[in-house]
Amino acid sequence: MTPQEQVQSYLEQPKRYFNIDGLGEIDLGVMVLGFNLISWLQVLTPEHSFWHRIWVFLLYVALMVMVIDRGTKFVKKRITYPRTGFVEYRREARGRIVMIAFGAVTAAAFAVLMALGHGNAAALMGMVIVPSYAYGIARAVQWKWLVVAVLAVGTLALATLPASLVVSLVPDPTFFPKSRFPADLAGSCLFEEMFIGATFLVSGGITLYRYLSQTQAPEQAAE
Amino acid sequence: MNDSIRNISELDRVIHEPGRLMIASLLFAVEQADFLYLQHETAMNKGTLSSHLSRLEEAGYVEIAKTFRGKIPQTLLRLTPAGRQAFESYRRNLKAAL
Repeated sequence: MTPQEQVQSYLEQPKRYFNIDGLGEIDLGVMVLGFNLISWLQVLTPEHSFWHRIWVFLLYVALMVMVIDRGTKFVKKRITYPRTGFVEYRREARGRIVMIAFGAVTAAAFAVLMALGHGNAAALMGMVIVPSYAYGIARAVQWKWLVVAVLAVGTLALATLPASLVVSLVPDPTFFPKSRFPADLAGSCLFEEMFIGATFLVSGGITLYRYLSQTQAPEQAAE
Repeated sequence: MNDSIRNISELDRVIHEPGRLMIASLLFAVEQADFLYLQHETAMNKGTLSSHLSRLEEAGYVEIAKTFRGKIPQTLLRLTPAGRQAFESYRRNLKAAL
């Protein structure tokens, strides 16, 4: 490793530290499953029910984000900071711009695939999530490559399920003809979302368990 | 003296020491962090870490604040603007030297 690469590696250490306790993945898992839950509620309830109102959706998202944010802060304060230390991250505009650009490119790619009549745009979710996860998380922790493999195989398998099977697995497939999404595509996306969220949650849970068993708050002494 | 050697001689000695380089890099990437975090990430013992931090503080590169987290004492550390500038110029000189 050259001195410059060494410095770069030190500079990236704090970013990796955010997921040292698995909370980064748990947060993502809860968010993805949260969106999945409201999507299922919309599928399972009549078209004019409470769950289809836009303000309910917005309130649900706001509450979910608040619970994730407060929950993360609570756990970090009680568990992570006393064990391995406190970090306050820099608020960089560049990071937000990258996230917004990433979201916009993904949405555009999804729209193009839909417009082209691609039968399984759900595969795109895997194609976006797997490399992002590999780059963001697995690079730093060797066993997370196993999670990358699980995500890659799982998302690919779900994206290639026969359309008839996907539709038969959805409790109320009559919902989809009313919506703008083809039933097989919407069904695939829901199952993919559920699989990805659950994988993040399990992977984060294992990391948290390992973190708790391998670390303990040091005795307080003069620093 | 060629440019490469001149760039090496211009490297900031305070930051160039491996332990302090690690500390400065870690602090450069964050707003602030506590002593325990640096100890965990650098795997240095308290004495060594304290000594490096004192050297960086003397140079005006690190600001050290003693506070409390509840009833537990906490030492918060951050790079000063001079420290950030020195680290950036160290990276530039290192890049030019190699």
